[in-house]
Amino acid sequence: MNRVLGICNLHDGPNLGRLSANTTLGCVTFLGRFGLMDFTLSNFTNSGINKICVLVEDHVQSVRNHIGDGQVWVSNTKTGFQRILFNEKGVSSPKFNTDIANITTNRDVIEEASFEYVIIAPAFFIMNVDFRDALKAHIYSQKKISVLYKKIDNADKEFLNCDTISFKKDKSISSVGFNNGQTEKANICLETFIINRDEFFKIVDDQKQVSHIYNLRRMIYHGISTGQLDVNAIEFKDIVIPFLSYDHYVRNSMAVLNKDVAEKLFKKDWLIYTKIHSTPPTVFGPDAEVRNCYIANGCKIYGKVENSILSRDVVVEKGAVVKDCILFTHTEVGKDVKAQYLMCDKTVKIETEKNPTGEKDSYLYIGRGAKI
Amino acid sequence: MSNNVVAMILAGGKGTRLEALTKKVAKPAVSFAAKYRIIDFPISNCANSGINQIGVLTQYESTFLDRYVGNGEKWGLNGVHSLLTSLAPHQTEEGSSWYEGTADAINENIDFLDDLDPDYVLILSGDHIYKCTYNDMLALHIQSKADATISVIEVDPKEASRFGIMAVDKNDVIVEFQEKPKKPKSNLASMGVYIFSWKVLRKYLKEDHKDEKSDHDFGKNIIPNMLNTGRKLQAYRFKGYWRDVGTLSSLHEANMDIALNRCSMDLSDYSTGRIYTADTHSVAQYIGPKGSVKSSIVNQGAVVLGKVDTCVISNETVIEEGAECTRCVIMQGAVVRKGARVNNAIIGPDTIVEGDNNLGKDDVVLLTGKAGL
Repeated sequence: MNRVLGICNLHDGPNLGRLSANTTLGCVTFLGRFGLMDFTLSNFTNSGINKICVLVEDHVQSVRNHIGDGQVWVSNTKTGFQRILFNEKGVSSPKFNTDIANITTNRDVIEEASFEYVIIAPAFFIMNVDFRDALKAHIYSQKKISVLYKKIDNADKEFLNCDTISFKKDKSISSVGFNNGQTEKANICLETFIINRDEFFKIVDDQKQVSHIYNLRRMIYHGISTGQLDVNAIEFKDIVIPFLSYDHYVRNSMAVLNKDVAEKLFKKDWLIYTKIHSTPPTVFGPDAEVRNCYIANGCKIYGKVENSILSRDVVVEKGAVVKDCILFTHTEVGKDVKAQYLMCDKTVKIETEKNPTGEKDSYLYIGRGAKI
Repeated sequence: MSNNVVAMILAGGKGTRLEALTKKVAKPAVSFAAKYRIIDFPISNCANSGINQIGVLTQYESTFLDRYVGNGEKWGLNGVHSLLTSLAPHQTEEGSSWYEGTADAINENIDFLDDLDPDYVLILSGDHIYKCTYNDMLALHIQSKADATISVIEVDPKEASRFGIMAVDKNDVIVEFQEKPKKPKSNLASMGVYIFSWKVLRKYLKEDHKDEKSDHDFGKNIIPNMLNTGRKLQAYRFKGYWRDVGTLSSLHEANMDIALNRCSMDLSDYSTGRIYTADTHSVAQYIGPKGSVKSSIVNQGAVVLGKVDTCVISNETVIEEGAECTRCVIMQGAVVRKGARVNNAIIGPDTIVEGDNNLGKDDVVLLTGKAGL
C-alpha cells in the first residue's frame, strides 16, 4: 500500500445545520469521542496507507486542532505523512473553492509524494473499508477509476438525495443519478474513488476546460455521461452510516446505542484512531443511575442518565435526569434539571431552566457555550 | 523549573508481594485507577514540573517497561529539549552485572548523568502513587543550601516502624535516619524521593561502589553515609496523597480511594496537571440497558452490562448482564461472565471470571487467568 496516497475530502460535505456552522463536518463529534473524519483516516491507516492528505474546505483551524501532527494515523513518520491541504484564496469565493481548486493550489505538495494510486474518500459516510481489497478489485478491473457503492433495499427511507449509479454486467458504470426516494432498491455511490495517478491529474487539469465550479466527483460523472471515462464499480457490503443532515446526525448517532449496530461498526481488528486528550476515567457517584449510554472519559455523573451519548468532561449533577440526549464536551447539567431530547453543543451549561425538552423527532439544539 | 535537573526513576523492582500481577511485568507497569500504569505518576509529575530529562532504570521484566517508556511521547517528553530513556543493566568495559541496589543502579549510569551534566539529580521511585510537582521541593533544596533534600510524609506514629524515619531539628534539617526502627524518633517517613546536588551525590556513589560491604542502597548506605560525614540533609514535608502500592491490599485500597473519591488526589483537577498515559484507541465506554454503575470509575472501552458498585474498571473489560462486582479492581481486557458475583477482588488483565460463582470475601483476593472454573 505504499503506492497509494489516501485523501480525506472535506469539501462539498452535507450541511449538519448548526453542528457544522463553526467547524468542518469532519471534526463534528461522534459517539462522545471521535471526529467524523476519524473513520476515513483510520480506514487509510488500517489499510496500510501511510501517506495521507486532508483536503479542507473551511474551518482549517478545527482540522489542525483535531489532527495535530497527524502522527496518530501514520505508521512510519519518516516514510509516511499526514498533510492538511487548504486553499486560502478559496475562502473569498466559496463557489470556486472546490476540491480540485485545493488540489491545484497544493499540487506541488501532492506531486512530490511517490504514489501510483489515489484513494479519495469523504468523511460523511462512516464505514470500515479495507482499501487493500478495494485496490485489488480496482487493479483487477484494469480501469483507471473505480468507485465504491452500497446496494440498498430501503432507498425510499435512507440515503435520500445521495448519488446513485447504474452499471453494466462488467461493473462498468453506465449512468449516475440521485436517490429521490421513489424506489426501494438503489446502488448508492459512496463517493469513494480509486484513481490511477495520471488519470487523477488529468481530471484535475481537464476541469478548467469543463467548469471551474465542478468538483472531482462531478468531473467524474461528467466523464461518465460524455463517455470519456470508463469507471469500475466496487460493491461495499458492510455497514455504512450516512451523516447528511442535522436530523440524520442525531438519529444515526442514537442508532449506535443499538448493540447490533455498534457491533457492526466497531471491530477489535479495526481500531478507530483519534486525537488523544489525556482525560481521566469517568467518575460515577453513589447516586448515579446510568442505562444504555456511551460515555467518554473525564465525565462526572452524580444523577440519572439514560439512552444518551456523553462526550468528554460532561458533568451531570445530583438529582439531574438526562434522557435521550447527546451532550458534547464540557456540558454541565445542573442539580434537579430534567432534560430530554437535547443536542447540546460544547460547553453548554443548563442550570436555571429545569425542564429543557426537545421532541423525539426534532432534538432541541443548544448552541456552543450557551447558558440556560 | 529549569532543565538543570535530571530525574532518575527507579523502576527495576519485581514487586513480589503483588503476586501474579508482576509475573510478566515489573511493578511500575502494573495498572492503576482504570487507565494508568503506576509509573505514569512519577513521569507525569516530572513533566508537570518542567523536568524534561529523565532516565528510567529498569531491570526485572524490562522489555515491557522499555517499550512502554518508548520515546516519551505519552508524557509529551519527545520535544526538542526532552529526553526519556530506559536504562537497563548493560555491558561495559569493566564487565556486566545486574543492578545490585538503588544506588548501584545510579552509579552504573554515571556516564549518562555526566553527559547531561545536571546541577541536581531527582531520584524517584517508579512504584508510588501521588500527584505533585517537585518545584517547591527543589526551591527548598536550593534555599536551604542542602546537599540532599528528602521528601517526607507524616505517618501514623503507630505505623512509623514500617518506614524509613527521619528525625529532624526545628528547621527540618535531618539529624538522624532510622530504617524501619522499633522505637521511631519521629513520624516523618521517607517517600523515597530525593534531590541531590549532583557533584555531591557523584562522590558518594563512587565511594559506595568501592565498599564491598555496602548494599549499595540509598536508604541503607548513601543517606547514612552523608549524615555521618556532616552533609546537610533537608526534609521536605509533602502534604498530599501518597501511597506505596506494594501489596495486593494496598493496591486495592488505593484504587478504592479513587473510586470512592475519598482522597485528596483529584485526577480530574487539570489545574494541578494531568496524569498522562498511553491511549487505547477505544470506543467510549458503554453502559447497557440493564447495567448499573455506582461509586466507581470506569475507563473508555469498558462495556458494563451487569451491576457494578465501588469498582475501578479498566478499558476493554466486559461485565456481562447478570454479573455483579463490588469493591473490585478490574484490569484491562478482563471479562466477568453472567452469574458471577465478585467481591473485594483484583481481577488481573485479560482474566475471565466464569459465571455462577461467588468469589471474594473479606480479604482482597487476586483473580487471574481463568478464574472460578
